[in-house]
Amino acid sequence: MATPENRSFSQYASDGAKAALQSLLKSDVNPAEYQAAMKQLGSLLGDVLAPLIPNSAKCLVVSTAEDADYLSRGVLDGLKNDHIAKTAVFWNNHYSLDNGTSIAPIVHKFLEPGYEKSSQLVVVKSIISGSCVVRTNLLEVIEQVKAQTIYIVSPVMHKNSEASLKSEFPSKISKKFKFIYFAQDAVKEKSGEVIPGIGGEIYPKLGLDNQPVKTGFIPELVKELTHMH
Amino acid sequence: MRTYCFCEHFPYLESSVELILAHKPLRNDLEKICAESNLQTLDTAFKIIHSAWATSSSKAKRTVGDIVGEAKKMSRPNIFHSLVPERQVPKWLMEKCAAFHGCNASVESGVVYVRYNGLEISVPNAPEDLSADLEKKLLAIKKVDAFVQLLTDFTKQSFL
Repeated sequence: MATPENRSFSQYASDGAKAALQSLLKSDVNPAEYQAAMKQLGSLLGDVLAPLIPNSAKCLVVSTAEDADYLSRGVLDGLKNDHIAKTAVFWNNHYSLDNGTSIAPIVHKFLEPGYEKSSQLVVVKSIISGSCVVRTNLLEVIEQVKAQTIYIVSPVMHKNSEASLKSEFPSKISKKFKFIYFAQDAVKEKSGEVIPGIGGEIYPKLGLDNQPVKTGFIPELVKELTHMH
Repeated sequence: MRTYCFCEHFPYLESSVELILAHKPLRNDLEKICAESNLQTLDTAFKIIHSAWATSSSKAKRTVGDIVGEAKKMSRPNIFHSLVPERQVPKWLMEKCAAFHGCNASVESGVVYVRYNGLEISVPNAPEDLSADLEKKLLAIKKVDAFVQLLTDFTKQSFL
């Protein structure tokens, strides 16, 4: 399998992870295939993460609403075998201000009861480009959870995202960051889209019309954890 | 503006988060204007106010109120909660929440919230009174997931 141009893989990228990343890039991929690939990438990331966290430690897995049912569920599946893992899901409204600053305030939220007792924060995102959403969702919980380690977990990151995210936080917080990813891409378009990244904008790829806050979408994971069914 | 402002430079605090965490008076003022203390909200408020301020012409005469008013317009959702008029939980919403165990509605700083087992839905545009159409929809709802869906569908109208 050829490595896409401008992409490098991390030590964690197994052949399975590389194949799943490649399947995200197929031009004819349908939402069901894309969802399955994201879930598989989540499971593989969870498998990487699980041995790094002591079994006795409680984890909080934080994600956006669009990532909850696939990437985040995969990470949770990987972790829940031998860890207590709670879930947080945020509905961000991601947009740009007149001065070009990107913001993603939270509109709705799900915080699984007992989340405050977690000591390991796991912030999951399908792709990390400018890191605005990751930063926002981390800020939402950082003062409620006394985290010893903060894992930033993503299948693909832009090469500058790690430094960019660290620079946003005081060193007493950023020194807790550990980045777990499979691929790092060097190219970013003016729109902020990382190339090849995850094959384009995530919403249509997953079968969503738009950002969840604009469609009223409620992830199945949230329905299950709130016992709606 | 000049009457009410002073300028202080923090050369070693390069990001808004660092500044808010290190400079208590700034955090206190952001907490007052947002009527909450969550760091994410305060940081977002800082960025919005900064954008409202930085993108205006320096020659234009503007008051602090003008800048805050612009920031409020730019904020989606409106996180400047101290500026939101107080209101009550609509009666229909209170009654429907009561139908589902563990579901409750409240108003905090003028914003309506519905909470259910860790889920918090904000419904800033919840109508005060029932329209015939809404009444019909509510009557048809027997399960909590359908009710929560109705609420997120309400909220999405504010973002379209």
